[in-house]
Amino acid sequence: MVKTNEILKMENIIIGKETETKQEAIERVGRMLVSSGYTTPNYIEGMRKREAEVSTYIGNGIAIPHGVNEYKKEIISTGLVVVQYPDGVDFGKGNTAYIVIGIAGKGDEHLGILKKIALTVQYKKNVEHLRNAKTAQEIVSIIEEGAKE
Amino acid sequence: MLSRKFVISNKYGFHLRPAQVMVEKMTPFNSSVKIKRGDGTEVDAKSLLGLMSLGLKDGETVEAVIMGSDEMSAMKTLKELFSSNFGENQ
Repeated sequence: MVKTNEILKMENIIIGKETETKQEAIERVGRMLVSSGYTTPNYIEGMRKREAEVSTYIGNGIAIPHGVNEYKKEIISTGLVVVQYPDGVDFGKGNTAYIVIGIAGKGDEHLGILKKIALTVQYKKNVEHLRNAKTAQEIVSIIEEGAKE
Repeated sequence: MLSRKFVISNKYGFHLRPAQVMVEKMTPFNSSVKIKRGDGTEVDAKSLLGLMSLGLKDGETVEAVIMGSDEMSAMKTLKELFSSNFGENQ
């Protein structure tokens, strides 16, 4: 399995962002994917479309915005970016995301880290740890450790 | 109790969208619906995080175990979902 730190790089984790709208948060993670060279700018349009179809809020304070399949061609390589919002972002229907994870998945190599994230955030205490983490390293460690439980 | 094996046939694996479709379609049934991976790990088909935590890839076989008063119609719906690849264009 691909290691977490190969797909999720420290410089692609932002800690302590002030709250903003869902649209702004999606644009932000989209721009991060572009500036890291994972996608073309067009991919952000695909992310907006995806969110308009079905929310990418997955439960327990986590959202994972990504593009619809038709925009896969805009992905240059697989990568993830993470933004932590201690005060949360309103994702609609009473859902608040504290961790917003932008995903560009070219093949299926990102499923491993998604699996780790899903295992980790099944426990509310891990979500609280992610929400309160003070460094990017802490975020990665929580995901790695949480997946082992 | 009904059980049946299915093969994941989604080019990009059983990612978020198919999982969301499964949760949406299975939640209305009263029956319990479990999805079992080859290694025996079992999750609730009505839990998005549970399904995502399996990290199922294209070509993997899973077993669905459904138990309850409406298990027949739940299995029928599940079969339709798998045969339509959860509405994904391949």
